[in-house]
Amino acid sequence: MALLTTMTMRLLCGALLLLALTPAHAVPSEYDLKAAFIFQIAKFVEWPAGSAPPRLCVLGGNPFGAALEALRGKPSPSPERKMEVTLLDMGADIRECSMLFIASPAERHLERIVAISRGAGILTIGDTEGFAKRGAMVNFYLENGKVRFEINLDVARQGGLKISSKLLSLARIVDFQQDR
Amino acid sequence: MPGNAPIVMNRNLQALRMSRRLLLFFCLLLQPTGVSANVSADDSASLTDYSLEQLMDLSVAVTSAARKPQKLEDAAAAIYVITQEDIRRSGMTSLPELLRMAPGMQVAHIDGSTWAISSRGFNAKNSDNLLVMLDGRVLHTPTFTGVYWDAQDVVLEDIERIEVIRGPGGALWGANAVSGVINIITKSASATQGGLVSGGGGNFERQGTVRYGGKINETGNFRIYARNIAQDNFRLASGADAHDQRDLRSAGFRADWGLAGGNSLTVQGDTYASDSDHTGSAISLSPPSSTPIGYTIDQKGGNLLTRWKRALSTTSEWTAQFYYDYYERRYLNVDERRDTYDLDFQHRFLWGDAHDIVWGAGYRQTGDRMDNTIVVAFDPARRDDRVAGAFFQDEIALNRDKDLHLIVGSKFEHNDYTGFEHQPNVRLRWKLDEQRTVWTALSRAVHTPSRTDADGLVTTTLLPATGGIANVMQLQGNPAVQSEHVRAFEAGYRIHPSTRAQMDVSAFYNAHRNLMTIEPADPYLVAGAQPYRIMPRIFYNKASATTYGLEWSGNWQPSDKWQFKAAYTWLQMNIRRDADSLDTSIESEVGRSPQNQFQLHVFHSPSAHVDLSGALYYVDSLPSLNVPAYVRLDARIGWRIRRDLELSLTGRNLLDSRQPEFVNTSGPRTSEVSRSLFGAATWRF
Repeated sequence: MALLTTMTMRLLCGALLLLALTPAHAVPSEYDLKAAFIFQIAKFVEWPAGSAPPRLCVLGGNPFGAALEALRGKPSPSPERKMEVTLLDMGADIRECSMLFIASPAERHLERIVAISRGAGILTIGDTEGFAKRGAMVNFYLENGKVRFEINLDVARQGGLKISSKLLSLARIVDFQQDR
Repeated sequence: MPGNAPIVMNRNLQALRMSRRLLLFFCLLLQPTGVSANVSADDSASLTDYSLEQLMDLSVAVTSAARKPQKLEDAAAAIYVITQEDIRRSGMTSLPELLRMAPGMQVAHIDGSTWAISSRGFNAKNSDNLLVMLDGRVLHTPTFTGVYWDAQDVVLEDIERIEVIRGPGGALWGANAVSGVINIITKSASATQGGLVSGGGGNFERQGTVRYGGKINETGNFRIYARNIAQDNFRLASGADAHDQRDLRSAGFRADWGLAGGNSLTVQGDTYASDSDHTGSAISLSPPSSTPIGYTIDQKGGNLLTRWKRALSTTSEWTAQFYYDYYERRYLNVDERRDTYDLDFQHRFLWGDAHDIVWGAGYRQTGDRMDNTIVVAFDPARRDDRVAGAFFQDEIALNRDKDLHLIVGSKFEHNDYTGFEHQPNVRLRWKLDEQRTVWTALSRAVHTPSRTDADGLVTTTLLPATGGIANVMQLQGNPAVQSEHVRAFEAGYRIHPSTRAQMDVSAFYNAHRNLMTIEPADPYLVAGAQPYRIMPRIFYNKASATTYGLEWSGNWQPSDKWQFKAAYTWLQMNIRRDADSLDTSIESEVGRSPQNQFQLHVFHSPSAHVDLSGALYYVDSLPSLNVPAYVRLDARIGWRIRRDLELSLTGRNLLDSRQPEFVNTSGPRTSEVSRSLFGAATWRF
């Protein structure tokens, strides 16, 4: 009986906690959400064989704040591989990264980043309008207050990355700036 | 974006966190084993446990400000960009027509294939103050440092953008970027995949384009094209044919590779042949008479360009570019051939946190061969010239917030006509906030003498005979002629209160010195069976000028269906010749550029398949040329009947059956620009 009561209490507490958590998550901050996206997206990308543990680099400041720190050490994509997180200075070597988030202040370096990441197995990610068309592989955008992402498949292929069809089915696929 | 919403949200979150803590407290009391660890982790940590689909269902609390690339707003110069969308919606079919859209430019159609194009004054048929480039290749010819517009063409659908910079650009681009730089940039081959067939015709011109783009293995893309344009004659004021038709055939390719290790390679080339009809004056010495004569200019040419770009790091890259350009231009008995080789290198890097540095060096060799005639000759008939130069520019962030930038730089160049030239500039850009930017600039630029200025011998006019001997005026180059130079002061203000509204104002004050004048020299007799007297007119630097003006442009897009663009340009010129100058015509240059210009563009898309556009231009009178002020209306309707097929109908100069926009000062007759209709179809596959 006592056991049952504890079980019930636990379940009840769990349910209450969920209730308490759900509304909080209904209004997460934009970058908390984007950080979670990046963590999930990494699970659907296959890097060239022999890649080091997933290493997320952020260039151009840290728009994620603490959400970035929370990703550090999280297992991804498999439990034995822990995620590394590095904030890069402008001019740092990006070839050590497996994922590179290019924050908008680094916008004017995008073309160089795209050139360097070509064939280097780096998943380039951004959240600035037009980034994917200019060669970033994944680019977040907002639509009706929800985070969406677009994928430039050509660049990802050239970069030596395989992106799962599941991820592609959720994304808007873009090409380099095609004429209309 | 700071505002009320985030504060409210934070409060809510705080309240929620509080209630969760209370709940946690209760649970801890109730259950001896405590709760699982991830419950106490913060929000974002648990967000990572959500699946992608769940994440996509969540709304974010704060909508970030639009983060469009804001390079244009960041320029410390009077810059305007004509986009591919602007080009498509305009319905225009040639490069010079597109430049009309750029605020602050003076663009006038002289006859079928001849244009007067300049910025900030001094407009003329052989306007020589603008630097015009297509994908890094200089379009103007050193023969007169202007552009042979009759022989220029490009697949308009393949243009990515045209950057029009008013004001001196000598510090980066070198000589002859005195009053502006026009940079025509075509799309990378990766952006022109698939096929395009477009064709059209109307009462003034017909044209057709075929282009196909594909892949070259994994890393490269290419496109090839062929194109033909055929323009009919305009009319003279009398209604007669103006004899100014043009036909141009061109073909070319571009290939781009993105290679591993940060390397990109571009190879592109074009070949073309054009023929255009013109009217000149045939001078006959017995009896002395001058009669109009029709002739055709044939130009053939080609070019090959390769550009290698290498990113060394995220903040450092270099570009090396080489091109070869060839043309041969023939008319009457004149034959001009020119080969140009140009090598250019530049390196850009960030130095520390505050310096964005670009430096580079270039070398250009151009050689010509002129078949001299009695009317047009060059002394010497062959000439090879070299220009070697180097430049640097440092954009310095003056404060921690990086909203105040100082830009300093200069080009140093050596040319075979005037030796060393320096062209420094200093610019200051202050970003007041996200919406507003002010900038100011002080610069010096030079116009180096052209081959004609230094070596030309052009017989122009027959003057009344004296004593039975014909008098012929001959324009003579002067090997000692100096560079013209300008000191320019500019300032501008840009505001974009939203992504749907922008406004740009710039003002300039230019002090031109050493302007070329044409001075009479002592006449001399040329003996022969038919003796005649030459009245030489020789180039000297004996004038100066001050010009100032104001350029305003605005863009407003109240909804996705409507867009309005407007521009106003006000220009004042004062030209003074030196006390010892006898060139009485130089001062009349003032009346060849309109004092006031206004343009209004309206774009409307009533549905997803239909676009309407209208462009209204007001151009002030040109008193020196007796060209009255005029209003010009162009309009276009485009209809996308299928995803891959668009039809359009464009009307040009709709308000007037014909009107002059300029006067051909080097020919006996003036063409008037006709009203024209042009229907076109574009199919992509």
